[in-house]
Amino acid sequence: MYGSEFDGGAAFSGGGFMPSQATQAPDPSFSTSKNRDSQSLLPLTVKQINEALLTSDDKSNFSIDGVDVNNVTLVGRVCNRTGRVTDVTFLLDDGTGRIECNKWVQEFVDSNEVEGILEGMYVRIHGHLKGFLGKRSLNVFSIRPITDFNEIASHFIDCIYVHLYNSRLRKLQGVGVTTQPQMPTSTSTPMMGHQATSVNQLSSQYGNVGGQKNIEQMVLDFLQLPASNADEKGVHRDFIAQQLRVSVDKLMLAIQNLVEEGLIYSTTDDFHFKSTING
Amino acid sequence: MCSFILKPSSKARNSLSFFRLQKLAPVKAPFRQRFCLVDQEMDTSNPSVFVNAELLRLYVGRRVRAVIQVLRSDGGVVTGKSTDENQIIVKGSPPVPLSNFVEVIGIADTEKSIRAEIWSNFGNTFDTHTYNQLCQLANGEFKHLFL
Repeated sequence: MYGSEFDGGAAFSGGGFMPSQATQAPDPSFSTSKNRDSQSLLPLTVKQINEALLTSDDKSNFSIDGVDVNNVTLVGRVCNRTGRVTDVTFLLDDGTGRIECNKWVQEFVDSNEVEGILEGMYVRIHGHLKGFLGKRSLNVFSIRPITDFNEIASHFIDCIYVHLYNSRLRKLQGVGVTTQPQMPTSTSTPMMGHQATSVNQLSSQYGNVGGQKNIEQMVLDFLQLPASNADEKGVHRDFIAQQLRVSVDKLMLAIQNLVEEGLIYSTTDDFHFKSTING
Repeated sequence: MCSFILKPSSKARNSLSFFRLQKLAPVKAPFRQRFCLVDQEMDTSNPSVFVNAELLRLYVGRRVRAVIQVLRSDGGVVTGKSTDENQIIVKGSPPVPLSNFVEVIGIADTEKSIRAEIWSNFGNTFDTHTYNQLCQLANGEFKHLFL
């Protein structure tokens, strides 16, 4: 969701210190998917940033859950605020840790924004994570006081969701294909341990008997297509059967198993189904 | 990881031992890097844990944060309802005025009380149900993102 929809580059291009999409688009060597991925905005905790892996020694490239980290959003309290003419530095304390933040004041709007930020205030910041000589800090684009305090809980739930999405669901959908060492038998469904094993057992059964691609995986793949997710009601079983060219009896058996695994669910009635991913 | 920074004085700089030390250390990374690895800015050593009344019991003596609905305020002692609908006592110096919902950050004093250092008014409406679920997630399956 976040990874694919939010375009950090476009959102921050107004600041004048990020190359705009337009200048990058004509470059054929620039892969679009990689570009979008690297510019996505990640909601993170300070703890996650502290544990982020450095992908290369010489540059400031960080990786969290297998995703490159550039633009991040955090929510926390402002501590040790120091204002100067050209910039403001402070520590952001989000309860999991503290990180140094720096906001350059270039224009009048910047100084207005920054003057409203007081010590002890809860703020939402958008910024760029950078590393220098082993020190991690944030170059802040935007800083905004929090007025609805439900945003704090909402932010951390976002962090959990995005972590889950990047570490598990993304792999399930084959976006970032990496095999998990603790589950060498798992093929394309690295969900929680027990689920993955049971699906794999089933798939091997089907594989041995019929020699065909197992129906469950086909149904799951079909329901995870964007087109299948478009309708809130999900997809009718007859339509799935027709599309996958399997009998309704065989299909319902597979569907029943997938429902039990928690991978799909029935929606408005017993005939419409939807994938639990991106539901 | 190295926990000290070598700062040779002008005397030591000239001394043979410092150069020997430099030679003794493995030479893969530049000398300076190996001694400046200690991160002095990022600090995750003193987190404040999201708690409700049930979780508070597990963190006596540790730094916690909780949102309470204020029931009573007598001087330095505030009695409030936690997000899992139990009573929590908060000691300290509450701000004036105190809103209906308050977030407190401080040390868990006993199983049912917090000595608050930081008070933040969270206004008169707050989604306690969501916050309570976050407390559980942040202490359960996703603890590694927080602690």
